[in-house]
Amino acid sequence: MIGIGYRKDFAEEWANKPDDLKVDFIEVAPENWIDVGGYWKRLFLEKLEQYPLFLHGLSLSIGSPDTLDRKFLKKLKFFIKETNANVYSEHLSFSKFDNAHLHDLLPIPFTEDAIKHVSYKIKQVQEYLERPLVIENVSYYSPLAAEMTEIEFINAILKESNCLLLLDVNNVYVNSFNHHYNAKEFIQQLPKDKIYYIHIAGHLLVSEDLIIDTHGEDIIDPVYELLEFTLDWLKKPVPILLERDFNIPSLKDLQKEINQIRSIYNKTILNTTSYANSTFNL
Amino acid sequence: MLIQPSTYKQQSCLVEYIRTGNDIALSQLKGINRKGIHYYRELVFNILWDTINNAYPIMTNFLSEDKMKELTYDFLKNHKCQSYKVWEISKEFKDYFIKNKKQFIKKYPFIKDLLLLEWIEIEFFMMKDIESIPFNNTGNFLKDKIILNPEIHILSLNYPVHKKHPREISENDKDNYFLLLYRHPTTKKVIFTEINILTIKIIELLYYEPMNLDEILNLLIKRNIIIDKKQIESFIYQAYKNGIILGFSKNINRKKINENKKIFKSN
Repeated sequence: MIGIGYRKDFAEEWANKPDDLKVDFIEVAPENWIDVGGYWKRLFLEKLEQYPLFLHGLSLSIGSPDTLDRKFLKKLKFFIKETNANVYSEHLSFSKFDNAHLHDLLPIPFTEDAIKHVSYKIKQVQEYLERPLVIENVSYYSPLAAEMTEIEFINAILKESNCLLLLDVNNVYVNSFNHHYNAKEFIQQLPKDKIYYIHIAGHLLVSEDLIIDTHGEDIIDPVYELLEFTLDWLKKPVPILLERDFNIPSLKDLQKEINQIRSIYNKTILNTTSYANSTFNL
Repeated sequence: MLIQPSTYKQQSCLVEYIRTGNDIALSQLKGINRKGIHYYRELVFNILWDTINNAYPIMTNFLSEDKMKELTYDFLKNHKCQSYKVWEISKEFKDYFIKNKKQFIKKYPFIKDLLLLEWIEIEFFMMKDIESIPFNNTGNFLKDKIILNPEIHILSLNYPVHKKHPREISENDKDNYFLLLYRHPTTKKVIFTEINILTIKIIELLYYEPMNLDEILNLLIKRNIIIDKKQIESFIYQAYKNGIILGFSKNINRKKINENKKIFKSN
């Protein structure tokens, strides 16, 4: 299954030219669609009739010291039910502090107490939503008071909270560049059984030693190669999603990226396993 | 909370630096890459700026991009965004501006109206659907009840920000302006139209209870409103053509009307 992050920026074009972009599922940020009506809702509902939906949240802020926003969770639970969404994922980061939303993904200190705190909050979310939470490894541009490595932190959270992993291969690439580690070795240290699906996107090299995860450029070849390596190593079918949030090209150009992802998927997974009809409901 | 005070402090200082640019907060951060931390401040600012700049194009054009960026930095520093929805940042910016930027409002008294107008267009475009009571597309407005589009709002302004560029507005323009704002039932686009007091009265009557033309006329007479029947007929015909009136009904489910009113109030 290869999907696309459904954005308002191309919703109208896709509604008018449905054949220009062919995918297996769509993904949205629930925060951008909860309580939205009118024109956007109409376009969104048309796509919901055609494609399975995955949700990828932005504001849960699982890593902030703040307690969970119960009002938001209630809305979210209703939205999941209303849209019959297959999956709800979030970021291993924080975006809210002292009751103020920052609307960006900030790095959690890689510390023992943060592991306990984040795992406790993940368990609370899973219990309330009555489904596993799929948590994404994020890009980060600076460590913050780290007592351990990123891989140790992620693995400890996965173990302690029993959540699943949304492996963003572009984020691994970005972090390996920014923090000087080997991306393939990083991926090989992740627990295969926890990897539920994969994200891939483009990024921006802003200086000789810093990449920002913009989702605003085409995917570069080293990231495609990392995807191929990951699927080859994983040896199990997982949904893969293309994220594109800015500088959105024509649907035909997005389709070219989808086709390239599909070709890697077919080469590494479909030809070597018998999971062609696997489903991915949580 | 399982977070230790030391971890809390690191997160707190990071957020303080992002919001204020305060170097003391930055100096408290341990084991960081300074260049990376600067980018976080830039990224958070850019999210606010993109949202505010897109929401208030006329105000930005009037005050200048530099001034609006300055106001956005001020907003980032002093306001705690409450909504998890990025598009609602613009509403919080409007409310923050009106509450805290009295010197601008004193200098440009129309700016409150401008902010309100630019925001309400977004709010109306994005808001939850409001279900209408059942209606027929065709009918006779002399006999049948007239069903108003429930996605409708009357906006009262003191300055003509809807038809004049801010640079052309002066104190001589100060007056009462009424705008009818509605979401078109077919295209779902948001439409503004300037209306007079008589139109407001008719819309108010239809909003509270669907009625036919005779019932409208009788109620207006009872309220001592001078009416011109032909003018009202013409309004109803135009309103139907433009999507302000959705259609007609012979039988009205009163329970449904009350349910819709609850929805309208909650928005």
